[in-house]
Amino acid sequence: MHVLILLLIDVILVVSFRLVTTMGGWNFAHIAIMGVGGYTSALLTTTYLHWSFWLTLPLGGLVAALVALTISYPCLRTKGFYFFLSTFAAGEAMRQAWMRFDFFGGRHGICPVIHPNPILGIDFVGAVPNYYLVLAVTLLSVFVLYRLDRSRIGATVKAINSDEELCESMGINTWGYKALVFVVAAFFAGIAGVLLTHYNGLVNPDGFTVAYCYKIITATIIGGAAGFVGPIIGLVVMTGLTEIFRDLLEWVPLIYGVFIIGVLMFLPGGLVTLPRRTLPLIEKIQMIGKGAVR
Amino acid sequence: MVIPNIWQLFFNGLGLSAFYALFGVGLTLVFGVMKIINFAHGELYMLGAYFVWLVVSAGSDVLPLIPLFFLGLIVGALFIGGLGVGIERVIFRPLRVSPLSGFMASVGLLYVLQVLAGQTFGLAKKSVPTVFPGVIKLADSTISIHTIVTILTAVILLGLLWFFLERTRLGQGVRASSQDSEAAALQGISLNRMSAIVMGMGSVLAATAGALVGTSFLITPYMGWFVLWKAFIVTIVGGMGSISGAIVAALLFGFLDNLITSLGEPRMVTMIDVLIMLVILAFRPQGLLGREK
Repeated sequence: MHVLILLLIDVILVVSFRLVTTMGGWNFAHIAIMGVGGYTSALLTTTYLHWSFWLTLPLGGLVAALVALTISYPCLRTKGFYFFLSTFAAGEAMRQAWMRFDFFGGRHGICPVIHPNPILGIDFVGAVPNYYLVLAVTLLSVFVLYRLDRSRIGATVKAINSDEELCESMGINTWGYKALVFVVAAFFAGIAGVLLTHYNGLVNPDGFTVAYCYKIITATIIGGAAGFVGPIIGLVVMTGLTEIFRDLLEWVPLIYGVFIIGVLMFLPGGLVTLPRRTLPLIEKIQMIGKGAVR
Repeated sequence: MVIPNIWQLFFNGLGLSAFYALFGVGLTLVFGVMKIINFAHGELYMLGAYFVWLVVSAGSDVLPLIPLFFLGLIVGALFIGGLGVGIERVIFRPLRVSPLSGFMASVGLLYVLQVLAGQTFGLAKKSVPTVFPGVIKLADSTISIHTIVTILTAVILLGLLWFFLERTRLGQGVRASSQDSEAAALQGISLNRMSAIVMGMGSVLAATAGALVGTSFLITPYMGWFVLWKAFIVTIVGGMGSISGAIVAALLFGFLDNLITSLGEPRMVTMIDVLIMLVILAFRPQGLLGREK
């Protein structure tokens, strides 16, 4: 159950992460933005205000989106490598801010954070109700992001990625679309952060390190960023691998690393392209088997 | 608040700048020619520190500490330089077709090297006995010998690099490749060869930085991460691919970080640095000395 809940939260993360990649940027601040959601909700429900979880769930997403809007100004001026370097640094700065200021609880963060408040007679104490809660939010998020991906907006963003100058000359507000995608992805990352925080019952800076970000990126690379389902497949494969090699936990990053390099070198589109690549091969083998040598 | 001595600030800042420059110049050199951000640069640096630890702990009965340290540094630099060339040949070269794959592969490489180092040397932190103990007094400030060695090493290596790039034919080739690899190829300058050269040199610089840090701080398989983001800031502010830019930015941040730390706010360093970087990106995205692109 625990693994499944974390997997579902990660699904929101990879799918929203991929949304940013469709505009051509690898957003290394994604996990830090997720943390913004988590911290917002933790502060509002616990420390001073005791607001309800059901109110702070969307609010966490909104604050994350606002923070993303702020950093989008300098970061979106940059492309390619600069984009991920600047987001990498911006994310790290947020993490340092949580450690530096006592308002955020410093190194230890905020603990305990309440479980989601009871609603409709359901108590969110054990793993099972939390699982269904996360499942519902994940399905909703994935649905919204899927519609967005298939909409005119999604198509425009991909067009901008393939030729920004051409799009601009056609009167498309490229900056606006890129910022929109960045902020929407941040909203969902923030939601994922709220879910994770309330499921764990705590939030601290070490929960949102670059290592977590690498995991999301690795899933996206392994699965393939071009299609909508690719990153999800990548994530499932990674989670599966982690579970299989549970006893060799310290070797797991090495397996990820070999996987990334292997996929990039031999399967550049990610695992989603595997069937398309192997099918002709299998047919060829069958032809030979049938005695195609006439 | 203690008002720090200005000369003390100067020398300590210079020491930190020298370290940033050693680390950052390698990163930007590799980027210049190969257009790849090598995420595993920090891991090459980490291996440099482990090499010194290995040589020092293996030979502590045979040789005195200082020659042993330099032996470790040189052996490590040679080995890691070779490793860098190997990585270029086996991983980066086949992935050159797509600009992002090289960088993503280097993320994978980072995992691999971290785990291998952790499994080979153990996860426990290692420390090398202080190689350069003692301080000297200069202009009523105390400077550790270690700082002086770091500064001298940086000046010598970067001086050699400058000589190579500006005064030799091969170095001209590297610069040409970095400006426009296609035009350079038309002149008969092999991009493969230049890539191998810069990757080797960048790795040597990283290994040297690691060796110097390894003698004064604890060595862990994850030490590369902590420096990498700083190197990113240095190379962005300086301008990606610009070596002089990286040195200017290394000086800027070396002095600034040291000043902030001396004022008793070490935890503010990252935030202030990132703020500067974001401001630079907002108003001058190509960096201080970067080429317009």
